[in-house]
Amino acid sequence: VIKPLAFVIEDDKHLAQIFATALQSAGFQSEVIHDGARALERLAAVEPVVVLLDLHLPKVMGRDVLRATRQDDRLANTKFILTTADPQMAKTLENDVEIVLIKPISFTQLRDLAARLRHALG
Amino acid sequence: MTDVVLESLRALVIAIILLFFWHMGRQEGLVRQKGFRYIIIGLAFVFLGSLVDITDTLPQLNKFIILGTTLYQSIIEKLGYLTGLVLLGFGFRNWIPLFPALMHAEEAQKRQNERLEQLVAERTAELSEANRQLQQEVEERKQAQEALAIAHEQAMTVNRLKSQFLANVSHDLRTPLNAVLGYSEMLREGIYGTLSDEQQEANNKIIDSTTHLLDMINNLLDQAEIESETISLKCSPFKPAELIDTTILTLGPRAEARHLKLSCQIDPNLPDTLNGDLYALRRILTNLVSNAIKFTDQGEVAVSILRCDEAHWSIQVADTGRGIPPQALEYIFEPFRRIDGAPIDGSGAGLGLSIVKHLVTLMKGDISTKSHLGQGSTFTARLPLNTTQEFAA
Repeated sequence: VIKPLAFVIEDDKHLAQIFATALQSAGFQSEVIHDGARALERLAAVEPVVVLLDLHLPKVMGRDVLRATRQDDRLANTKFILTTADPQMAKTLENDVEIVLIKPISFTQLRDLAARLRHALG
Repeated sequence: MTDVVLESLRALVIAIILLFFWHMGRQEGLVRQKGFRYIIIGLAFVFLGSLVDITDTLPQLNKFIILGTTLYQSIIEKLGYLTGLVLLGFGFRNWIPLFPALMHAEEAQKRQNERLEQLVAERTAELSEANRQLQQEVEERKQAQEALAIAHEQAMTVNRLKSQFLANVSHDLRTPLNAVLGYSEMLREGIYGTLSDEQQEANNKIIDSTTHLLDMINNLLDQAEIESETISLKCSPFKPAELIDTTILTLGPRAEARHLKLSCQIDPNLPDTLNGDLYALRRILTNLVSNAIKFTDQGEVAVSILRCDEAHWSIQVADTGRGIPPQALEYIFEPFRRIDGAPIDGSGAGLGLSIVKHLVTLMKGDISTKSHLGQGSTFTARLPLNTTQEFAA
């Protein structure tokens, strides 16, 4: 059985590992990306089902990654989960994504959320 | 004959003087002055005397003179002169004291003028001094204004830096703590193998402490934002069911750790979307629920979202905890205040409820509390969530 693909775009290596583990526990196959430029490269190549996107990224900011990919029809069905520690920033983007999570993000919270998404995918 | 001519000339001169005085008196309005009248009458008498004197040497005119003989003429002449001179004397006697006064007045006028000139000079000097001071003051004010503008600019910069600093601190504090919390949770969930009971217990303590620390940081940052007045609310559509779900998901483990039931009751007519500031609502709900969990030793914490009226929804958090003493109900919403003697575990900075109150007020809502000691408390935040209008921030 091929598990659906999820991207974890997060510059903090520890958090990236936690988020990736949570998504794997919910039945996803996860790929960790640490900067915005690499994220754009990978998103141009493959179509993940879920993208967990941090706003504060090196090279290319999460906001710009979101703007670029939101215009790509291939990724129309991709669910974006925005993660940020800045609620004011989150407010400006909450209408462009499916879910906004304000850091700190609990492992169990993310795992349960991902499990629900996974369930909805069938 | 020469006598007659000379005496006639004398009479003529006196008549001229009399007429001159009379004319001058009329012109200058002196007629009413006593001294002047004496002078005129005196001159008239002298004139009369001189006329009589002429007849003295012209005996042929005697028959026209009612007074007749030379002796009488002589007497009249002498009397005329004498009376005239006496009256002139009286007249001038009345007038003479006026001269020094006039002289004095002139001098006084001169002195007054000098004094005035001096006064004018002094005033001019005073005025120019005042003018100079005024200019200096204007200059100083201008400088003060410029300094104020610079200070204002600096304050704005400091405020911007402070906001930036807060955002950075917020990010830099939350990220590592998030890692601590995440790894501890992974340990608890058995991602790295099963933990012994002792290990599990220790791990739960790490989770508890980290959660508590995160709560404190969140509240301190919120409070800092409130104090620097940089908090701004944005009204946009949100899914209320998701709001409740996220809160239950986040705080469920904490309730579970305290063996409490965390339940939720949602109005069956709750629409898919409402309007409000999602972040503020999350903070309100999270603070109310985590407070309820903290102060409840057994039983349950129930979250409900209910319709109040056409425009308002209420978010209610009820617990079966220790309750709030009636006297404490007055101050529980004040920052840094904690109920005397509670909480037993000593946690909390006393900011949660004050932040809730502040956010509810910013959203143009209100919050009420009902509590019975030993039975529990219910907090109800009544909020206008149907409106799309922006909140005053």
